[in-house]
Amino acid sequence: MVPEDIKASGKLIIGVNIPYAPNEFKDAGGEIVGFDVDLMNAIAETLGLTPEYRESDFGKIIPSIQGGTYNVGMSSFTDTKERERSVDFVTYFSAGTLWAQRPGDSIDPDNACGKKVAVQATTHQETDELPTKNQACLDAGKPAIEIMAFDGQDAATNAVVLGQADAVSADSPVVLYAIKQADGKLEQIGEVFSSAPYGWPVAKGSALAAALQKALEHLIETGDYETIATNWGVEQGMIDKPVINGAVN
Amino acid sequence: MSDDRATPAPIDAVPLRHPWRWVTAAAILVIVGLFLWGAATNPAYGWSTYREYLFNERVLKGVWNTLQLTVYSMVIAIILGVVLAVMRLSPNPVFRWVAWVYLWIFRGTPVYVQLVFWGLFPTIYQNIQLGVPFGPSLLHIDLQNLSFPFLLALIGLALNEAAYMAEIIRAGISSVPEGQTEASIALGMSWAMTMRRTVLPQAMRVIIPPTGNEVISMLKTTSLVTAVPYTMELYGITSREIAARIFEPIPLLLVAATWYLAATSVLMVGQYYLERYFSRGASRKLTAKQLEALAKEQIGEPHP
Repeated sequence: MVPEDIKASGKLIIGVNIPYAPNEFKDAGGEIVGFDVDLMNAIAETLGLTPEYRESDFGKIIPSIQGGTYNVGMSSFTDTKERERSVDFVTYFSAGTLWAQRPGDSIDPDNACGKKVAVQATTHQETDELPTKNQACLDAGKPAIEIMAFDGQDAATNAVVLGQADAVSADSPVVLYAIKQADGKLEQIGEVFSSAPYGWPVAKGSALAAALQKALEHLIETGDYETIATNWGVEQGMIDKPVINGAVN
Repeated sequence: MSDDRATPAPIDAVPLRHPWRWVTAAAILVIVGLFLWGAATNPAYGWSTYREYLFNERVLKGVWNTLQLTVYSMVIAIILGVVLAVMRLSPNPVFRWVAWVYLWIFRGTPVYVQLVFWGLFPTIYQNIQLGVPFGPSLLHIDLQNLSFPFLLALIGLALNEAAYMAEIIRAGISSVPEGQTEASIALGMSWAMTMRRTVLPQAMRVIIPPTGNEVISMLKTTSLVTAVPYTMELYGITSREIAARIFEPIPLLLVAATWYLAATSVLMVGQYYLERYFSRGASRKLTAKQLEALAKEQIGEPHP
């Protein structure tokens, strides 16, 4: 099932962009760890391959897969129709958007007009969610949402803790992890919404997609998938059945 | 009357008073004190986290990698810069044009963009083959199978810096008056000796200060190698690794700033002594040592 050239090398070369805790980040010893990493290690083991992680810029992972430098990408990629035009995705998780605020505040994610919302730059929340919500505010004649795009998720979260922003919007696993790190200085607002699948991108038409899918189905059956997700506190987003190209929008 | 003129009343000389200096100094002290007090008591600075990570093993590793990147890339840049400067001053038009085009490209595009390009190099050029063009291949290197972000970062920084160093060195050589070369030739010196004994020692006085500047600038430019991405230098480790894990960016930025400042301070001391060495004899003013020797000679004390 694994393409011949990958099988021959015995290595699965994985492009990863860090930091995106708790999915992929470095621990105190400088090792790349996280939910995505544990899952990919288990997948590689199932396929009889040695995983080799290569740090990359987020925007360069898909071009590097197309160019053949990486076999697969692993960086909390949301499987979207747009991205499916460049690569194939194998879905492995369901993440939504979640907001957080300082305890006691009453920010409404559906009506944040006139509020300051912190996000990490280039995320789905910065490029899609907030611009759409901002337009709705303007159309209704209300004040605009002030979108504060930070370079890193840590800076975006810290802005809310320090009072520079009113709320932070990010992928659900990330916000849940940030709330845990903030030690009582942040609280979740409502529930996770607009869920979308995370997927591993592989080269268009590569047989590796089917191999990854089968391997994940195996891990779901054995219960290893659940163990890994629970270890990282992201069991809310587990899926039952991986698919190839499962974008919802 | 003539007696009066012979002995004028002694002048009561007092130093010029500067009351406003005292006022401004006091005001600045108060403002600095208030700022320090505010910083010390503001929880946003996270001083306990700062103390915890200042001498963290990973941070020290980042400092070491930053220093290595700085030194290696500057050494390569200076050597390449000398070559390019000589090429630009050479009478050979091919050399002049090659050097000019190199400068045009590497000085004309942002270093960040160049580093991104170097990061994509193994994707663009998937393998390197050495051999006879259209003939047999002698050596084949599969770039895609290698992972060498440190080397790519080093190449990116060094090639960019070489363009600046070439201009600094060219300016230094051109600053030595033509008469110096003419005089050396008149004394029968060869071109190589003229360069070594006459031109370069005088050019160094002009080259050293901006080169020191470039070293300090390079130390901080290394923080851009995250574009490659090479993430094991000081900024990468403090910001993209530790701060991203513990979600406290401010104290970690302060840790990085402290180390950059410490390294820059050491470099500034080195630059001071280097500059003093190469500006020997450039000024007519005597140094404290020379004045002392002169004074001793005047009073007849034997030379030590």
